[in-house]
Amino acid sequence: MTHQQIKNKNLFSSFYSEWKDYLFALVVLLFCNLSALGLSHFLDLTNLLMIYLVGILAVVTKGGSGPSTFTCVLGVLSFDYFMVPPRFAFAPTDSQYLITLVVVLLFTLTISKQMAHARYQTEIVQSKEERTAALFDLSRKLAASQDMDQLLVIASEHIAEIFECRTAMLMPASLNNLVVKAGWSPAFSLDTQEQKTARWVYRFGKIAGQGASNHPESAAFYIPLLAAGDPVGVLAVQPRDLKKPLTSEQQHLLQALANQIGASFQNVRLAVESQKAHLKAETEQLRSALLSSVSHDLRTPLAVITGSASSLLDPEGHLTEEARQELAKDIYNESERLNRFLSNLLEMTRLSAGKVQLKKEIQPLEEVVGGSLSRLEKRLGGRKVQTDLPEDLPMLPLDSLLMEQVFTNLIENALKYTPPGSPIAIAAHVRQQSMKVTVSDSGPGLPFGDEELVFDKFYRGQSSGKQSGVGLGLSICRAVVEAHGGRIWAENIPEGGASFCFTLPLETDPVASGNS
Amino acid sequence: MAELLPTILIIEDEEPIRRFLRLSLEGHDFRTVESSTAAEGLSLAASHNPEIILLDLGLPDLDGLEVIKQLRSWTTVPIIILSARGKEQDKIQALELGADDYLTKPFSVGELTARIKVALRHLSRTGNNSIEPAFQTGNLKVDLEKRQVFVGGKEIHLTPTEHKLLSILVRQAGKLVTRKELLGDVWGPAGGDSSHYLRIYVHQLRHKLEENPAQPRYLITEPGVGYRLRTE
Repeated sequence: MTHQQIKNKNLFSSFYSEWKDYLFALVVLLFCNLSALGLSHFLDLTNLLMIYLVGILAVVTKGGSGPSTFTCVLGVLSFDYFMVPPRFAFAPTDSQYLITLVVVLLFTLTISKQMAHARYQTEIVQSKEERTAALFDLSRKLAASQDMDQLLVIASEHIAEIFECRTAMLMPASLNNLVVKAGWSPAFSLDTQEQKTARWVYRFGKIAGQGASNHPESAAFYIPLLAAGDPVGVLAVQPRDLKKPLTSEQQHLLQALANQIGASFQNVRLAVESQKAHLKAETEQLRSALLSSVSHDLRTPLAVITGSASSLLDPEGHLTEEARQELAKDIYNESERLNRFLSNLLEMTRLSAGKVQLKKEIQPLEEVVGGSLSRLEKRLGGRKVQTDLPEDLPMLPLDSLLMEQVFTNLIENALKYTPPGSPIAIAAHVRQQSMKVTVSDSGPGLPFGDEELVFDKFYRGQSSGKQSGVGLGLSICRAVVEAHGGRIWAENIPEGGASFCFTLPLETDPVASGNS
Repeated sequence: MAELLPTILIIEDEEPIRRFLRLSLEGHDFRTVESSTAAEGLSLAASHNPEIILLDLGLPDLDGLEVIKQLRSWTTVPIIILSARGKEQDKIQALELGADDYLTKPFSVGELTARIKVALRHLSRTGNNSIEPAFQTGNLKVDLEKRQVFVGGKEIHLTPTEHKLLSILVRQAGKLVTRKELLGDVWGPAGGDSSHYLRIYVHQLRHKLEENPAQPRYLITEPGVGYRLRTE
């Protein structure tokens, strides 16, 4: 609770409880009088006084200052009237009783005042505790914040609440300007005078404004947000109650807070920048890997084409017809190879950019496998691919073109990395709610430990020859399978060879096409 | 008796490249021996003693530069590099390690055969230590012994440095000579990095020897690497 709220509460509750307290006071006094009267024959005057004192104490500990005072006075008077001789009259016969009465009155009033004071103090401590708790809360939120703007909003809201003021967070914008980034109710405007003060604060890193030694004519109190001694922004504070400017204690506290905010802000900003730099570095790395890979892999087929064509054109070449045929064939093959590289590259770029929309159609897996195998017919060159696709394999939603690409890439890999003539197998079966497809071979298998790495962009196997290909084939497979909602992984077969497995979800409702 | 055709050893891992090299070189009356790895290549070089070695830098088992080093440790056979790496640094390194020439892929067989012929010509010359007779190419005639240079029959006067520079290029006519080598041979160890000087002198030479210095016929620059005196 804020000071203001305490006072309000006191006023309100005191008004309400005043009613009750007065009533209570009257009841107590009535009780005192009655019991005193009743016991007047048995008890001494001093002890009768105790009854009244007890009554007064009861009221004073509970009630507010008004009722307390009321009780004290009325209590003493009623003691005087009812108990002090002459009874039922005010003026005491013995003048020493006057002293008693005055002392008792003073005594009770003092106690009542002390009690009221103690109560007040307790409430202040309570409010201080609450404020500390609020500050800790703010610290915690600041520390947890990852967003610069959010941080400023949180901070300004908290400060506004704790200190009962209007706040604004001013951050440097262009050139020399400070712009309100959070807080700021329309009533608190930043006109040129205030801008000047704010800029002064930002430049010199010192407090200024209302209540400070610099620019005291300003409407608000300005505190620099410091991070390691350098200002990163300015906090402007204006008490809601203009009659109650900030105390120096509050100013100190605000400064401490401002430092904390400044530091947190700087931390978040550095984290964001570091992340951006990291991303940039990664992009650069990827780009140069791509460039060097592409450069080499495009030059080689081009070298064959240029070399072979220039041989064919060489007037002093003396080539046999057979030789000419071979050279022409090479030109053809290498241009196809170039085409494949470029397609792979483009594919990968499109998939990475997330622009690909799957055109899924319910179809049997066989169709896609068949399409891929027929495209690869020439490259397979008679090599057998075993297919184990049960007849009752359910149809499922697939993007034909992309899925064919997946099979093509997997089979091409098998062709590249396994000895000619060794078997390649494709199998599929239903497992739980999805279809599991396996493309396996009996070649040398994957390098131990690289089973996950093979799917990285530009991963190339360390096989005996420098393999053609940019190294994107498997990453394309992963992108496509995952776009279908499946998972792909690689394993080494214990008997020797590699096996690439992927799952595809079986959808139960026939959706003709859909975006993933 | 078998004809003694010059043997060319091809060390290259891409089969289609080996193929067009073999077919066109055989068509030009060379004998070819092929290998697809550095190890095989090195052993074939020792066993077959080829006249020329064509070496690809991107071999699977050993870096081409290493192969040059190893070859140069026991033979002076001309090595012509074929590489997809086009960076100047790679070219300079290869040449400094002892390669004789450098062709960047893709290249045409015409270029290749021209370079091979240059290399062979130098081979036959380095047999005898005598200074050769006048060198002639196109309009340019250089008599190193008499220290005379003629362009289209007219004698041209060269400063001593210019003459020295030209004679190095003439002795290695057709071959690419690195800046470092030129600087070292003309200016000695103090030559160091003064490629600026070199450029000025080549510029002056061009103006004296070339009909159109902006489009040189003889003194060809290989950017970032060196110069070559082109033989026609």
